[in-house]
Amino acid sequence: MTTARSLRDKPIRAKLRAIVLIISGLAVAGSCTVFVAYQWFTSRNELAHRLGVMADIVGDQSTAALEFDQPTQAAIILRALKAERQILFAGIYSREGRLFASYVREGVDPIAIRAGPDPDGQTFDGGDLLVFHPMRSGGERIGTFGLRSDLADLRERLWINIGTAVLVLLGAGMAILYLSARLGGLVTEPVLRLAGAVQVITKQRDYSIRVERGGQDEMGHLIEGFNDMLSQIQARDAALASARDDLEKRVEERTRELQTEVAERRLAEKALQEKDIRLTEAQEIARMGSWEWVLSTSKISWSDEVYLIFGLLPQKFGGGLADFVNAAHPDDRVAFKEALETSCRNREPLTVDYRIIRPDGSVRYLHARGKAILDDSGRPVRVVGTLQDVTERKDADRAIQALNLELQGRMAELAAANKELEGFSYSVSHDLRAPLRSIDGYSRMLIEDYSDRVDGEGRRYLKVITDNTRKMGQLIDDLLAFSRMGRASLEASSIDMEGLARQVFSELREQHPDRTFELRLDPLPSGRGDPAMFRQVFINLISNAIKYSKGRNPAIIAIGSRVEPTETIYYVRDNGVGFEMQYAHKLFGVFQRLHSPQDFEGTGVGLALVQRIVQRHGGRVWAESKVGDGATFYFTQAPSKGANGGTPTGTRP
Amino acid sequence: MALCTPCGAFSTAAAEPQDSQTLSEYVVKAGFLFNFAKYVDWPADSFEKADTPITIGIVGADPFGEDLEKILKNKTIKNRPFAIQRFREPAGIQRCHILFVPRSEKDHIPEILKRIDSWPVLTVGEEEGFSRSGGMTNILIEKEKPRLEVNPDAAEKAKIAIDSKLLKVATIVRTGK
Repeated sequence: MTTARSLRDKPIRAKLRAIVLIISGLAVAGSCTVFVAYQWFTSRNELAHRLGVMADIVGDQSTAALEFDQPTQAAIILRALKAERQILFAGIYSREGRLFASYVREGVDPIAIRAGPDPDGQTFDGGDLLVFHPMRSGGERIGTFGLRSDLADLRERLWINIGTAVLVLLGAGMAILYLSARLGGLVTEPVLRLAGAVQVITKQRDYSIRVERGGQDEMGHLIEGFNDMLSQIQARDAALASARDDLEKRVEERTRELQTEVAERRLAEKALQEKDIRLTEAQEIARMGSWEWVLSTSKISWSDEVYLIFGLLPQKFGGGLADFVNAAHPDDRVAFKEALETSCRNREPLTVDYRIIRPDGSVRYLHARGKAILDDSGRPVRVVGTLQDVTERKDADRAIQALNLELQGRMAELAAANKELEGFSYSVSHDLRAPLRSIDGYSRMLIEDYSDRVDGEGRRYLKVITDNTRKMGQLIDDLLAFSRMGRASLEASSIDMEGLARQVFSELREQHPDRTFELRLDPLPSGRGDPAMFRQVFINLISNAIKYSKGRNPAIIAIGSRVEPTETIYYVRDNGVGFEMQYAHKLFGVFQRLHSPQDFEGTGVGLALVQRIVQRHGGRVWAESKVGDGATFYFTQAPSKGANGGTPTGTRP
Repeated sequence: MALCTPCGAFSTAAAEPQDSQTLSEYVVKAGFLFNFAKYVDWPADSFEKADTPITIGIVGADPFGEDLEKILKNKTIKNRPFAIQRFREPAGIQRCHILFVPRSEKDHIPEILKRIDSWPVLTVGEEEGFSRSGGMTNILIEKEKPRLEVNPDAAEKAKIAIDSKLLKVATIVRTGK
């Protein structure tokens, strides 16, 4: 169908010519082909038939020769076939199929000829026709007669036929072209005329053009109709032009009016939408709904948020005042209704807290506000208001109150217990001193006055007693200092930390004249607090450093600081035995010791005292170490801004 | 004597399990007797009925043995079967359709032909000079190949029509020549 498609845009003249050519060409070519094929098959069958008859006759002539075994005679008979030029071979075969006598056309290779007989009949073998015919005599079969004929004659005739057909085809084609050119104009000329006019009209929009009418055939009618149509178009164009002018004017006016209207309305709508959106958002955020009670109908309407607050679906609400009131908790219902009515009657603003029970059984606390809207004569016509779910706030308030109460009770208990404990430990420590002093005194008297009456062993025992009483005295002193720390009031003043550290170190090193020390003291920022207490802090930390660096030569004690935005950190570092970090939290407990008294003597109160002092000044303490690699103890002070340093603020996390 | 023949027109009829190429002389000759019947037309009155057998007579000593019977068994020509009749001596010859005169009777040929006279009997001989003596057909063997002689005059005299096809393959011989 590509032919049909490529033809679609060609002129009608070309289409007509192509159609005529194709159809006529196909018809002539078809007839010629059928004619040539018919000729070929007919002459072939004719030849086959003729050869069959010939085989019959010659075969019959040869029966006697075959039956009386006279091959020479048979050959003579066969030689008569020489007259038939197309016969290549003729043969007589005995009943057993043996070749009895044969004829071969001059110049033909006998070996190429088939030797044995085929079944009776005619076959085409390559370009040759083979005929095998039975030979009969006296009613019985005595042998077979065979013929082979070439088809040279036939082929020659075929070519002549094909040539004729081609000539006929060419002749017909030329005749068709000539005739279609002469006669096609009859059809195409008016069409072309019409097409030309249409083209001009389309291009120039000139509807006054008329096409010349040809004959009275369909084309003539078509052209007449076309001309009519042009006249009508002209008339309509004129009418349309005047109508359009009128219409345009009216449309313009109306458009102007509409534009202003639309613009106004759009502005108003937009403002309204924005307000609505903001209101919904605000209600959502505040969990606050709005409602309106129209007094004349006793109907209530409200915003979406109210449904959420009530835990209702919109279709579950009746819309009457009774529904609104009945949503309230039974205990609050009467009061709520009264509040509504009172506010309306007295024209006062409504403010009421009440409870509701949601359909799922949960109780919510609501805060309702409202205001009566009056008409011109001052009578209330409707009440508008808001509704807010304040359950969480109420719950939180109640929880805080309960917590506060509990906390106050605990504080009182704690203060009493603390006071009691401190009083107790002070009196115990104080009262322990008296018996200890007499044990010490009497032991010394025994050593001084009765040493000659006691042997060596006895004297050693007495020494142990006096040593232990001295240790116990120290312990009591420490405990007293520790407990005093809880009660003593703080004296807040500026402290020269560097001077304090230096002084404490030089005092302490004198107790160990046999050891070598190296002090690395960095400049320290001054602190604020009770100087006596911080003196105690340095005493405890530096003596610790001296104690645990026993055996180091020299024992290095480094004291430094780091100022950070929120606090100032001081530290005391030694190069002693250190401790395992997993026990670091135990360091600052009372009587907590990481080393045995045999290795390092001590009461186990020192670091607890340090912690207590630092914490009372609003700082914190901690330690870092690695076993065998020394330890560092840190304490901090909040930046010294006036009273800050002296105010106890409790333990930092 | 063995006869070499490429013609197998009657070889299937020969019952002997012989080589198909070399048939004995009398098998060939028996076949020829049968074949003659095909190429010969007897006068209409020589058969009583439409299926009256064609009678082959043999005068003197029979050289065929059983071969002739075997070849002719169940054979018909134009619906006529075959019958065989043997005559001890020429004087005893009766009317038949084909009379074979063996070589042994060569001294009695004139007597035999005289006995037949103008009966419509196709005479078949096998001795040189049989046709010249007035015999109608003669089967000769030359260089192991069969050769036929036909004396058309003799046949015409006896009102026997010989097919031209047979004449074409035979040597034409005239009486007395």
